[in-house]
Amino acid sequence: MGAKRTMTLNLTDAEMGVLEELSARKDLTKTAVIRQALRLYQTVSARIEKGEKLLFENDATREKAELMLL
Amino acid sequence: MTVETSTIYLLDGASGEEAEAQLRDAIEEKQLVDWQTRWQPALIAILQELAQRQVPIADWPQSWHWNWRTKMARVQRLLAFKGFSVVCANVTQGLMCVDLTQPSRVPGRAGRPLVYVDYLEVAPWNRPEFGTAPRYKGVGTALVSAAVALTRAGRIQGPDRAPLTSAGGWVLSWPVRHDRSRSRLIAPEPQILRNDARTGTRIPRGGD
Repeated sequence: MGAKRTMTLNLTDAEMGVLEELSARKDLTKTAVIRQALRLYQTVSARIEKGEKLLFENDATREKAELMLL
Repeated sequence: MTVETSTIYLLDGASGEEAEAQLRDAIEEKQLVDWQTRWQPALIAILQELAQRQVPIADWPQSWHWNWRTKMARVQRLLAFKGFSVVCANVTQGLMCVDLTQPSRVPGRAGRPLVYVDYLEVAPWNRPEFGTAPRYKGVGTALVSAAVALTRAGRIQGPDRAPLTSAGGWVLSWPVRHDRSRSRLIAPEPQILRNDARTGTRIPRGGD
C-alpha cells in the first residue's frame, strides 16, 4: 500500500449520511468507500479526457444517458 | 512511490527446497526489463517449437502476445490499477495487474468491490505446461494470494493484510475459477487458515 497520509474530511450531515449508507451497503469502511470513489473518479476523468464518454443504458428500454463530469 | 516487499517462499523445482523470494506490490522498470530480456527469448523459443510441431495458435499459451510494457503504460498513475511482481534470485518470476474498480459477482456479495485479476503471467521457465520442470513453483499462487489479501484489506477492519508466507503464520486458501473465455482468473471469497506448527495442519481462522 505504501506510506499513508492523514487528512480531516469535513462533510455535511447529508454527505456523511450517504457515506455511512454506502459503507453499510457495500460492506466497506468509510475510508475504503472514499478510496474507491477516488479510484473511479480518476479512471472516469482520465477516459473522458481521452475523448471517451460515460453512458448508462437501461436494460429494458435501451435508453441511454450520458454522465457528464464536472 | 514506496514499494512494499514481503518475503515469501517458493519451491525450487530442481532441489525441492524452499527458495526465498520477494513479493512486491509494484511492477517497476527492472521487472519490465526482465520481461523483455529474459522472458521474451524463452517464450519465443517455446513458440518456435510449438509452430514447428504445428500446434494451432488457439492452443498456444494465452499470454503469448502480451506486452507488459504497454499494459503498464496504459494504467500508469491510475489508482484503479495495481501491479504486483515476484522476484527470486534477482530475476522477475511472475507479474500481475489487478483492477480495483470491479464488482463481485459471487452470490451474496454481488456488487461489492473486489480485487479483479486482469492479467497474471509467470515466467516461461516456471510453466509446467511447456513440458519442462518449473524452475520455481508457487509463483502464481503467491500472486493470487496477494490479490485476495488486498480484497480483504479493502473490505475489513484490522491489519492491512494477512502475512503471505508458507513457512508459518497466516496463509490464504481459496477456490480459484479460471474463466478461459475471458482469459482471466477470478478469485472469490478466500478462506484464511492458520498453520498449526504443533500438528502441522491448517486451522480456519477463529476455529482454534
